[in-house]
Amino acid sequence: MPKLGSQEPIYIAVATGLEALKTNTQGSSAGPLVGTRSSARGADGLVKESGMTRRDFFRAAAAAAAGAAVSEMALASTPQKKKHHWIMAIDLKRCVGCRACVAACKAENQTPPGVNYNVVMDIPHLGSSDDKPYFLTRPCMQCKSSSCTLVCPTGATYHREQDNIVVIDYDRCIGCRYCIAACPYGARQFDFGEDYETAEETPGAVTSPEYREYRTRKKGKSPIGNVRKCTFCVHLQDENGEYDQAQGRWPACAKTCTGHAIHFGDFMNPEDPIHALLESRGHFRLKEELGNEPSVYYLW
Amino acid sequence: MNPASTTSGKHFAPIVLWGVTLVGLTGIFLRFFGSGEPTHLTQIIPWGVWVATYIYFIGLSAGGFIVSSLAYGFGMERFARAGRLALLQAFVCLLVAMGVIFVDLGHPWRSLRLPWQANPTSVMAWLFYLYNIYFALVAVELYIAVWRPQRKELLRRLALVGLPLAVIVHGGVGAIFATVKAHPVWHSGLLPVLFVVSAVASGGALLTLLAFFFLKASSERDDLINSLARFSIAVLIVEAAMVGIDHLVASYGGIPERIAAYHLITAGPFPWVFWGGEVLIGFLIPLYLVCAARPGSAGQMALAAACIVAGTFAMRLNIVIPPLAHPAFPELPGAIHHMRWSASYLPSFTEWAVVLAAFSAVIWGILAGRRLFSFEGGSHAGEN
Repeated sequence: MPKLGSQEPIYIAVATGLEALKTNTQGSSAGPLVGTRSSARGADGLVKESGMTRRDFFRAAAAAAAGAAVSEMALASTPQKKKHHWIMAIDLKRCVGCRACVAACKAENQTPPGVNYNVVMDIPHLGSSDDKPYFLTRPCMQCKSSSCTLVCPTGATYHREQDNIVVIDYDRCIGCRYCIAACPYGARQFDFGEDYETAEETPGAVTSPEYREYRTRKKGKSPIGNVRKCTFCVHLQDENGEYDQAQGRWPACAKTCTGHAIHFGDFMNPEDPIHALLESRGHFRLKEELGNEPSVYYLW
Repeated sequence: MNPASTTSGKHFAPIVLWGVTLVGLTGIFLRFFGSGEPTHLTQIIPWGVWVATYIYFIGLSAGGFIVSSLAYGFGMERFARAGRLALLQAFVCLLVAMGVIFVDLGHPWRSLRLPWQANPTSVMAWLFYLYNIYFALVAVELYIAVWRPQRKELLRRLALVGLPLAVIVHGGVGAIFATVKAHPVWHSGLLPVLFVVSAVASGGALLTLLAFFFLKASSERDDLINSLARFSIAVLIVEAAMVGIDHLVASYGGIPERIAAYHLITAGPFPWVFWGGEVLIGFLIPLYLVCAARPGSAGQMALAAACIVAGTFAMRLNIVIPPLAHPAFPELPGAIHHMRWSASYLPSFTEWAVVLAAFSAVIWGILAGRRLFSFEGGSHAGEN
């Protein structure tokens, strides 16, 4: 495959049935898409077109003040007005356990074998009339008080100030896997570097749109050797950090769910229909007793 | 080597060492240049034998250093003869531990950026700084003990500073695990303390073994070996009590989440690691050997020490792996049908080979130290 350019996002978009993505990613295609360094990232964790972000400025300033053991993380989270708090509400009564969300997640994020951001677990439901288990869909909980960001030695994984989504700076992650051990929900996975057979035949053919970085898989290069996770498909947000269901810019699992069991919305927006849903139904969050305050609710 | 060893043993030992070293180097080569993923780790068990080896050697380092601090800093004259050896042990084991965790990382070279990319809420990040301070202190103390033996007062002061530092370093390693609330067995205030106690027991035992093989045979050496072995056994009894207390308290509470991992340790797929490795070899046999030893039987003491050193490795495996093998949700491993989602883990050839590399590196390090300086003549500490 030739060096990837502006066509690549379209390829991904078509492959995953997201026509709407074209306009979104073409606009920023002049910016670095492949092999971008973390310095090209903005405070939102996404790749910026060009120019120095505030985070870069602080990075440079911190480097200049070498010797002073300043934690870059404290500086990295640039003060920004909190606009959104994206949450998921998963209806256990509607889920039929088809696992279309699992497949859609893999297709959207182009994850390698053994890496599944979203999984569906069969929880035995004793006493149900037809022995049907509960199907528990488990994306990343995007905890408000997350264990993973706390333990990360380099601060490579962090909360985005503007919408609470937990992202990973692939160029900063050292692959120690502490966050995997620390996550109470098993929501993080290591990229062991394995590839699907078809991908092995044409090395470099698989790129992931994650964080709009469009990285090619290559031995020793990120995201191989990194920890990876669900980001609520953060690369589908527009520049204002908004999703749009009508345009198809919606987390892949929620968009694909055959039983309309996965609801997605903005907790900060009082108009969002997800509030009515949560008010009308009984709901719970997983392992509430740990105090992680997950952003994923389960309706029962 | 041990003057008591036979001629055939003299030829046999280097062959074994070279063999183990070659296998180890193969493992390191495969880790960095081999095709395919070197480990059998999974999404459920992301830390395996390499992490266990890392905390094992950090413990041996801290334990050796604590014993040297007792000798140099607190005037425990009976240990002073092993002072240089203890510092060399601390130095070499720390370097080897760092090497093992370097190999374990997904992007090892990026860890060198930690000085300016550290996350203040991460225990692991703090340890990076602590290791560096600790390493510098061990190096300086070793230098003074060997090449500036007249600076006794400086050495004493450094040893006094070093003792709490070593406790913090290895307690900090325990805190890496203890701060993880996702795994209830780890999430205990007892764990960092257990790490320190276990470090002293295993580090003292390794020092006993090194003294047996590398110090000139004499009645003073045998006295030293006797004292060190008995000291290690005493600490080991405390350690065993702590492990027992932890198991009993968890069993009494009966919280399924909590006892699940203990059940994996005592009756899981590898119960012999606990019963055979940790309990029999690591505790009961050395306890018997030391208690039943006639005074002055250094060989029996050294054998007891070897058992403790071996048993502690089994304990390290049990600290790291079984708690992880109890997943976040029991149904999680079955959710995806892929080998990387398995809750069972057996290290790959590459993983075992790197572990062998670590063990051989420690022996090479001690041998290199013997070329550079004499291990004798450290017994000047208590003369202040």
